[in-house]
Amino acid sequence: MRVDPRARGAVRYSVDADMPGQLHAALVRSTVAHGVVRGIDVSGVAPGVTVLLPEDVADLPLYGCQIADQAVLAERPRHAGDVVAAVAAPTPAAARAAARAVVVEVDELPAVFDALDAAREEAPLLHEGLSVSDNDAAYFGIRPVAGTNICHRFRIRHGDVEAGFAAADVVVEGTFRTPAAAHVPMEPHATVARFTEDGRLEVVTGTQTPFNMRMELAAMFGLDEEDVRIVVPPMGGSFGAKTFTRQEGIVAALARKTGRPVKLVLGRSEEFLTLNRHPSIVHVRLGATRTGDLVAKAVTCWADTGAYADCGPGVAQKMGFAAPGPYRIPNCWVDAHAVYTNTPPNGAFRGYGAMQSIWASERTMDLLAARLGTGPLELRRRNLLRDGDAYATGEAMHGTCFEELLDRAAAAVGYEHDPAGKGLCLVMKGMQTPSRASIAIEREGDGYVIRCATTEMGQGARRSLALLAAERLGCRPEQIRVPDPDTDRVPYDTRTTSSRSTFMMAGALAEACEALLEDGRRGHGTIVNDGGLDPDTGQGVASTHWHQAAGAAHLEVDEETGRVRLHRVHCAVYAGRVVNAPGAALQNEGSMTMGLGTALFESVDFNEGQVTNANLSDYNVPTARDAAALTHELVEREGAPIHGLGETALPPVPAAIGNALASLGIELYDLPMTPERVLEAIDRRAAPSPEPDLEARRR
Amino acid sequence: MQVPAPFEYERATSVDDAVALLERLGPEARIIAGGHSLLPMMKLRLAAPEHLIDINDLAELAYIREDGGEIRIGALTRHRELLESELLAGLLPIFAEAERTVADPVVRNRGTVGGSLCQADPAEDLSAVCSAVKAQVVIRGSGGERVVGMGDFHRGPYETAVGDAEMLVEVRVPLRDGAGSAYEKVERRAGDWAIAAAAAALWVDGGTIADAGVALSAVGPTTVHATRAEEALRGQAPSEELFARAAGIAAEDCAPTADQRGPVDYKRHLARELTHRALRRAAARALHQEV
Repeated sequence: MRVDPRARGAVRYSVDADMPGQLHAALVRSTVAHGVVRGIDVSGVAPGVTVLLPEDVADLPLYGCQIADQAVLAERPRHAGDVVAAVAAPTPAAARAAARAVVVEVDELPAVFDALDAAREEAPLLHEGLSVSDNDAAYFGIRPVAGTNICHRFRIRHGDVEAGFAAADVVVEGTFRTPAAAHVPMEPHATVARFTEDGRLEVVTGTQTPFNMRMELAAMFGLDEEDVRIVVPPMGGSFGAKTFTRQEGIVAALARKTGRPVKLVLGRSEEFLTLNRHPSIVHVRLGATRTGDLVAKAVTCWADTGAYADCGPGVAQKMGFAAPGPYRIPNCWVDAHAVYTNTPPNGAFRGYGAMQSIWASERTMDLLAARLGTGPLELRRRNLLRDGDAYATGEAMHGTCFEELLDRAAAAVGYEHDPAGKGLCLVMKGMQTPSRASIAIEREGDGYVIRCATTEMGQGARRSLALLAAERLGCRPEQIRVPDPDTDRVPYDTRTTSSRSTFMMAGALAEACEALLEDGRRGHGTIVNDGGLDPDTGQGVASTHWHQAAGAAHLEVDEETGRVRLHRVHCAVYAGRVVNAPGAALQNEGSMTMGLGTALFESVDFNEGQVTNANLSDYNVPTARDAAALTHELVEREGAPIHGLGETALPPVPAAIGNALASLGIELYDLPMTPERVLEAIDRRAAPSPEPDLEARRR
Repeated sequence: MQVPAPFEYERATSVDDAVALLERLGPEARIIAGGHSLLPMMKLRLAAPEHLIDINDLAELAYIREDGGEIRIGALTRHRELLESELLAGLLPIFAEAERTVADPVVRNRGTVGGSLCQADPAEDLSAVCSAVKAQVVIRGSGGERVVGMGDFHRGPYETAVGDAEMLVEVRVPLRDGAGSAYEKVERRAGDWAIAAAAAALWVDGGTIADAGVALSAVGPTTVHATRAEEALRGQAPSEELFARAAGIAAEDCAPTADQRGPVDYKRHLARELTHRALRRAAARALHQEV
């Protein structure tokens, strides 16, 4: 019997990677949210322990995938938990003890914890000068606003929004908030690194972005990219947490100082200080004619990117271009900002900003439906995008499937029979554009080996590639080996993100297989998707390929306790063509479970910048019993291309649940929808709707 | 990875043996049964006992039986056994109601009633249940046994009347006529600690509440024994108005603090609402009016 290696304990994850002679690292973190290090006292550290201090890394330039704003060690910590020193010791326990023995003296600076506060002119500045990174993750026009904490602003200007609102019979608006959230991969961040005798840097690490990391580490240590080698074992989950350079620079700097390999595995509480999801404030104003045709939409998005930009500019941009939603709206105006605050950095998180935007926009659709006195299903059907329609970015839509998805989701909860306690959500989410994927395949024994940079994080990428190659080459999937990505051996790929890999790599693989069949020994394939948006107008090609889904929820509410009881939450997800049916189903299940946590439970909480729930007892991820109400289906179409499925079923869940509550007159604007918030909304129900927070619309 | 500090391990062969080990090894020894509270604390280094005394072999401590007008529950009885006991379901349905909300099957298969009570977490479910049904606990030391009521058992957060060289061996619940009991809890995710929970028991005799037990979880530094609410109920005829008044008193007498699970006002609101509901259902059971 073939037992999955994951069930046998046979997978060697990043945490299992070792190098002979390695030391173990631990990190010394700032306890204050913003300050300047006055001194570091290492006199209490046991002999035989190496301490990495700011002067050891003074020669290393600032790094950051989109804005170069982060030092390897922070002489000016900008969030509680920022790493100010690091130690390397013979055992993990000795390293932890040594890290505790390092005493850091910090002079505190004024700090700011909220995106709107941080965007004010008088707010304390986190970074005085901002320089756009030369990493290829900074591929779009990044627009820092000088002298402010705004590190990127993105705009869409489509039609004439003022004229649109003037022509509207009905205008609704609302301000919506989502909190920081943790990715909670079972496996924490783990890295082992060494400098070889010939001066190369070798890093084995859990990352979704091996080539971006190679670029960053090469720049950091003044090496040629070819002299940096990144190897990526399978990850025990990532969900965006392991993107771009996290702890790898520190580990490499320790390896440089000690002359030994150094390994670091973060603890669970450290995960909450390493990378979270962007808290957001999204203000939406939506206008329609009396008959229910959308005529104008204005959206302002604030993405709190924390102490360092990371990919926050990209997240803000995606929040921005997801804001119009899958509807025909002739006049759209969007301003999206990424803003620094003195909190841990926020970065990629399953959906990359889409959820935050969709929560706000899809809740606003139901506010509008209520104001118009039309049904939320009818309002969506009337306005949804169809093939040939222009999106707010100017690009023409193709391969749309929204009506079928919406009908299927609505049918799953019997929406048309009785909409009470039921809610809908329609989702359109972009895929990384532009990007490039390359792959090589070679004969090996009686089978083949695939060389590609697509990383495995539990999503089943290797299985999908093996299935696709086997189909092309007429062999069994078991004859195809997909080893760990190794930048010394695999061709370039943008990164394993945004649900792009199955689609993009399938295209490259088809070409590679054809080339192999011709050559007899090996084949190589490359696929490129071109596009991009003008950051000042938002016009261009946001995505060469749109991920589409609809969600529906059916629930009841205990009106005295505010507790929500879910009868069913269903997602219909467009797959185009399913490659690996069990893997696809698991992606939907996982996305929806995460969406459920986002909807009802999850928030990284802060007190003056300190995380107050950095453990899995106080930070509530859903349990199996909570997820029992979740169902899903995949929609395929004859001859359609593969569509990525890694994230699409997450964003529909919060808004479908929020709209189901709205159908009962319970209007929620903030996530998560905790029982006490639901109860507050029940108490508000009799009162007129709250004044929108106009602060959020400030231009 | 979270690893406990080093400790020595002993396996007790009898209750007397366990007590003798506790006495011999001193105050840094701890009894381990299900381990679902102690081991996480050890992994987080919130507890670092030098010795663990494993009592999982003591089958004589795993039972639920009716004896001399009492229900007797051995300290090593697992949550799952409380959940599935037909004897309890008939006489004290509050136990199964509370157990359904305790964590998940993995925890319930292993965790024990003795461990839950001795952990004395203010948000723990069975402490409130035992308080409401006026349970007594039997504590054994080398000098013999003593019997303590729940009011004296809870000394403070995570603190009980069980001394260093003693162990809890049994829970006794008196059986009286006209009894009804119920548990009401609101938690965030399934199986989580309560945001707030209320346990209620009523003993109705000839249309009058002869005795009442009300206790709340997660709304004070220990399990809250709502004695003023109990007094208000005693000697009165059961009614919605009475339950509302008693629930109001219980809500006044609790002392919740704000945390990730909710703000103070909301917890106090729940204390009132859940006490009211628990009393209503306890009365329906006592009067055989349950639908």
